[in-house]
Amino acid sequence: MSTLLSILALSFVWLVGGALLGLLVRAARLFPSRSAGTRYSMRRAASVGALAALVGGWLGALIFGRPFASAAAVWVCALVVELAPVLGPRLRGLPFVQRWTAR
Amino acid sequence: MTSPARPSGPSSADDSHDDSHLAPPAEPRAPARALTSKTTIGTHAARVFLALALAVALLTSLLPGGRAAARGALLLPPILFPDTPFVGVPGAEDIRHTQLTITSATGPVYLDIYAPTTPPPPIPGARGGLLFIPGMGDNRGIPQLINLSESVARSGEVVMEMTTDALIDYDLIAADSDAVVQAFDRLAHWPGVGADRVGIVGFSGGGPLACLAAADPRIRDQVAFITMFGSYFDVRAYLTDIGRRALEANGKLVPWHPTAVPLDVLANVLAPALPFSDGIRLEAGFAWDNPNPLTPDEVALLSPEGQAAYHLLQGDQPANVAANIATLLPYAGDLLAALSPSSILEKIKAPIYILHDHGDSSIPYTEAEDFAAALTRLHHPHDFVIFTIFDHTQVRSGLTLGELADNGGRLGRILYDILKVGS
Repeated sequence: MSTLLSILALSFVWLVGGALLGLLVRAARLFPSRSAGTRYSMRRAASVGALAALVGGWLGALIFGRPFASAAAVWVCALVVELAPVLGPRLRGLPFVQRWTAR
Repeated sequence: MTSPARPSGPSSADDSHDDSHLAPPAEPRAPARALTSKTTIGTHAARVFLALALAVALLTSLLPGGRAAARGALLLPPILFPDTPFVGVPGAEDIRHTQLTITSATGPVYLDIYAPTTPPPPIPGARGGLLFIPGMGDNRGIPQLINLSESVARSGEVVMEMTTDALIDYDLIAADSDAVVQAFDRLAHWPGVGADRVGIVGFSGGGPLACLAAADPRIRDQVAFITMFGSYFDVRAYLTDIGRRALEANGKLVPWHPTAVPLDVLANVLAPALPFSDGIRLEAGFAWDNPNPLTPDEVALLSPEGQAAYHLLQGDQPANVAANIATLLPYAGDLLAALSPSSILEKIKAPIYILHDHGDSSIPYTEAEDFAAALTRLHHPHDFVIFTIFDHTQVRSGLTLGELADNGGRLGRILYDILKVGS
């Protein structure tokens, strides 16, 4: 039971922290998504950040151990929120992705 | 884009004049300077904060030193505030407590193991191990020690506490180093622990046993580090300070009064070197929990070496300390040398971290200074830290913010050295 509670607590911390970090990345207006056309909206940045932190945190727990998973969540979240607006359209243009989405 | 120029002069009276092709007049611009500076300040602040957060996150997850620093920072609160559990920290590992008894040359060795329940992560691939020798008496139930062991385990290391029947009875015997060797070997082969990532931490009387074990050829090349907290370096020098109730600092004698426990331990240590009845009388006379002080008539009945031992422990002949030690040496010299890290220092290969409190009333801080000086002469890797917040090895209460900050920084440095091995 305590393991389940700690899992839920960690996930919640990463979701909330990731959302805030996503907003921070959006506010920082860093290259390559500096132009308004490729930058996420605030709401999208928060949701992408939350999801990226959750996935990054659990990947970090698997790779580095749970004590360092939060640190992994931070930099995975920041990278995803910053690069996704630029990489996302390019990925969607790939042939196999188009074939996949056309099914 | 500029607007086409309007025709000048009075407007035409012809109402059919159509101005729709003209561009609408430009709206007056809002003052741009204030909005741009607010946006710039906010953007820069976000960038600075983000850069800091990223730097800390990358360092503390990708680099071994960063992971060690993060662990050390997380362990400072449970150490400095012993009632602070580690379990509330996000990301703390779930741990399991196991009790075992193994055998050694001197009898049973009682082990308490605190270990994470999950397998070690791929980075770094194996966990570090710390073997705690908590010193004299049965310390297995002391809350500060349990909290420390649990906190270290929740940070991802495996902790093994060990004790023996002799240590529980406030006795220190050199042969108990085999018990330490057996416990070390057990920890080095514990599931998930890297065999080359195990260090020994000796508190008080456990420190010399840590040194003796680290010099043992069976594990000498494996021991990653030794940490000695509140321990002595040379028993003869320690007896000298006890006998004169003073220690030598900067060439001057400074009054120093030991507590009852080290006197009990030394009486138990010296007893085997004395005639049987002398040993029994001495042990009873200096028992820390129920002393039965010797009367002058009883002292007079002791052998010369028995009397020398008595006066050293009683501290009632400070001017006669050298003579009393000289009387004792033919009977107890080998025994005292066997229990002194000073006699086996060259055999130790592992780095040694020496921690001591300046106001320690069980073992004087000058022992730690002597130890560090000897290691410096030998060019042996070591570090030496003096604290001011411990009562021997337990944190005092009522500390000021300045004391915590100062001592916390020194403790953090040692924690980094210890935890880097397992990170």
